Amino acid sequence: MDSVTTVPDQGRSSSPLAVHGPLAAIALLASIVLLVGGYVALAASGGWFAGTRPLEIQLDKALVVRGDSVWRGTLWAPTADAEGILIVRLTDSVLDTASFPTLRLAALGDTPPMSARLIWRQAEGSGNTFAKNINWKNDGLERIALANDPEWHGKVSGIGIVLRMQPRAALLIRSATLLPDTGRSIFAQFAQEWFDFEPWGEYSVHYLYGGSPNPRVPMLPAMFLIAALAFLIYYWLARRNGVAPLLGVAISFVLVAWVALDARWQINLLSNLHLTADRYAGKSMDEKHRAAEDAKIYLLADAIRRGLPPGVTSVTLISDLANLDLFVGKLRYYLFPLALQIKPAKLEPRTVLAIVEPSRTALDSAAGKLNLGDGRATNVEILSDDPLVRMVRLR
Amino acid sequence: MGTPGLVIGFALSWAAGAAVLSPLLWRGASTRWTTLAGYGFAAGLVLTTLVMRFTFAARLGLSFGVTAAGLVLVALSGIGVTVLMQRRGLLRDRAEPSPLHPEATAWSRALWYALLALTITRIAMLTLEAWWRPLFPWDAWETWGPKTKIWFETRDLNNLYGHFDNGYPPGINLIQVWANLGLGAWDDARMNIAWPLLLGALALAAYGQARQVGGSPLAASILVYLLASIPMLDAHAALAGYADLPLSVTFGLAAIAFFVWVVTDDWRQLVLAVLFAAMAPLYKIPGIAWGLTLAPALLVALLERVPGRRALRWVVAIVIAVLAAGAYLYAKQRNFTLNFYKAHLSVNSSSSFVLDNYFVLDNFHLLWYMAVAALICWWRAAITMPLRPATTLIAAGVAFLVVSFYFTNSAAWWGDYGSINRATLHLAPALLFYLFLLSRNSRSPTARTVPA
Repeated sequence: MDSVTTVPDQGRSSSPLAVHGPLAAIALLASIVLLVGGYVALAASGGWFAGTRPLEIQLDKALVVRGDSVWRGTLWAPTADAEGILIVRLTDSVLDTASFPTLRLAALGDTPPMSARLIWRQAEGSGNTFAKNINWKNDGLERIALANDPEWHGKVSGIGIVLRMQPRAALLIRSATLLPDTGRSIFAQFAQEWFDFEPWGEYSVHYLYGGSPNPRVPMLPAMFLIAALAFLIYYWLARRNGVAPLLGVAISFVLVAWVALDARWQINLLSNLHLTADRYAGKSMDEKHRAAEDAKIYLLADAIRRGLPPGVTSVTLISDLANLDLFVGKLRYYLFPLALQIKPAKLEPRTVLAIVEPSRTALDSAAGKLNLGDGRATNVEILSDDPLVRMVRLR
Repeated sequence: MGTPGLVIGFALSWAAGAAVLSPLLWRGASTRWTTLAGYGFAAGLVLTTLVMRFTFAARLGLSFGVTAAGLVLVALSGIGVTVLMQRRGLLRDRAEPSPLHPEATAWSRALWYALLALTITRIAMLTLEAWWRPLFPWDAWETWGPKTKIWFETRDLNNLYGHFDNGYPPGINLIQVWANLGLGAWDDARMNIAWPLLLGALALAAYGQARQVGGSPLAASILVYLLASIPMLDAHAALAGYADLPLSVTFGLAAIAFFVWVVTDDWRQLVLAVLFAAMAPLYKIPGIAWGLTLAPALLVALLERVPGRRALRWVVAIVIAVLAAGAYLYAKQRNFTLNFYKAHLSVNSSSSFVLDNYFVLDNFHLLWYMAVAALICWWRAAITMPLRPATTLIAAGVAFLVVSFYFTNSAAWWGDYGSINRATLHLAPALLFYLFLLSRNSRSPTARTVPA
């Protein structure tokens, strides 16, 4: 870099902006064209200008071959069986593999799968089924490159996935798309993945994707490469034109790249702020918590407080959810100054219990009997019978 | 009292902080108001927590009135000392006030306004996000929030009410308690307003310090925009409640003051640096290690500034101080642990995590690319005077990160990148200012920068 400042200027009298501005602009443009063009030339295995469209697999026609088909809200969440095996047939349509060198799966497991495979059946000849191991990232988006797989050829008559997961763990699937990797498709992916909305999550204070997880080309290194190549081109152009390259131009390229990245981040922040305003603006603290992501836990804490007799300062939780740190932690936070006990070894008389989603505990309200499911049964006084929580006191 | 109480509370903290720092930063007509305001707010928050601890220990209780009165006293003391020093001629105006845009062209002025607008917009957005959203990320309500709630409800700093004592310093909790005392009610959204404001304070202070080392208004505004737009800093300002942003700002301000001392030789900046380095542990235990990164940098600076035997005495004194701090740490935490962190000699296979988070995921925009490129291009300027002590500080910070990433059990939390970026965040503002300094200095590596 020192040589940047030591090359003698040729005594041009114009302002630095007039001399270096056009050179820098040409260099930046050339860098973008070279890098984007070069990448598309290498990656567009479906042809630069081919008209093949991405094929969105209809998930409502997909089938769980092994495991359970479950819905979580609007998301399909096929669930592994008791042995942790999940097999999903995504489609049984006949497809031409030459048109689709990549599969893009927007899916997230409850826990990362221990192994994952894509399977497909040849439509011609022997009708063999082939499998390809997937390096499953579990960050919400899997990209499976098939173009170089020798078994991915001709026509196939079905595609599926086989996962080994925790027993009963689910895989939330948002979409599955076969990509043609044409020039247009690649540009569309750039735009879609770089400007994919990244909502606030618990992870946001730990790391940020900067667009879609696992993108075809991450935006951050792409912007740096564009800036770096632009500077090299500018340096060459400046020397060729007999002017001393300016350090300020290098800094300008970095700033342009930074601003491009930051424009995406700014739009993302605005989108998040818009959602936050819709949910919380103008509301009281109580209304905010009732509207928050963890509203159910807040409402549960409220129901427990309302069900307590006067003078009670501690409540014991009986729930299948008592093993979930997030649930217990938030419930404890919302209940304060009321103390929350979980999993007591021994239940003392007069203990107040909050019974929430128990699968093994049975309460006979009429008889005033509580069966704790571990062989213990006891007489109880019913304090409240809210849909969220049943409150009882041991006699 | 609601929002007015909150505003009054933080205004008092700000005033107290600025007043206490006035003897260091007041220069009559040439005072850099942005520096005073930025450092003043950050110092004011720490002062507020100290006043709360002091008044509680003195059995005056934990209330808005008592804390406010304490802050007024602190502010008056600061003003008194400043006036006294001014009268005795100890705060001489050494430089003429610099114009806002010296010899600026129309386009640079336009760019300055655009960057200013972008920065203000960013901080305003983050402030609204923090203002509206209740406690959101895990540790905010799991680690910090409960203690704050207990102390606010009971007005008793010794009460943990069954909540586990995580051994963390009470700085974060007391800032939240202070906000709630101002509001007059528990509000786990608005109590976090200090987080985006701290980011604003960092921006203000960095602007003033960039000008102090001779940066043009445009260069200073570029630096400030870059600082305020670091995504991980923004995320912590918006989803407030972790200790990482306050620690990052406090250590960043310490490092920036140290850098300014290095290039200007203004001893008051060194005092400012040491003061802020000492504040870092009040937010989070790793603040001790961050504060100690100043020690090797200070040694390098003194060895080059002070001749012969005097330098040796300084070196011995600093080494003894660092050893004493280390011994204290060892005795207190035992087994070379810093809170949950334990060191070991075997190397973690952390490189893929580090590379992913620094160079692929958009946690810090281009900061780490810039750092690598700058050191490749300007390594000569980085290791020659006057930047050698500043480079030492950054090297010590990076070394601390390397040790914690490769030689501690922190890797256990990396499955979800649980600590890597939060630890890096502490160094980010200092690193960015250092790169700013390096880029300026690389143009004339042998010359000390003359204040504008």
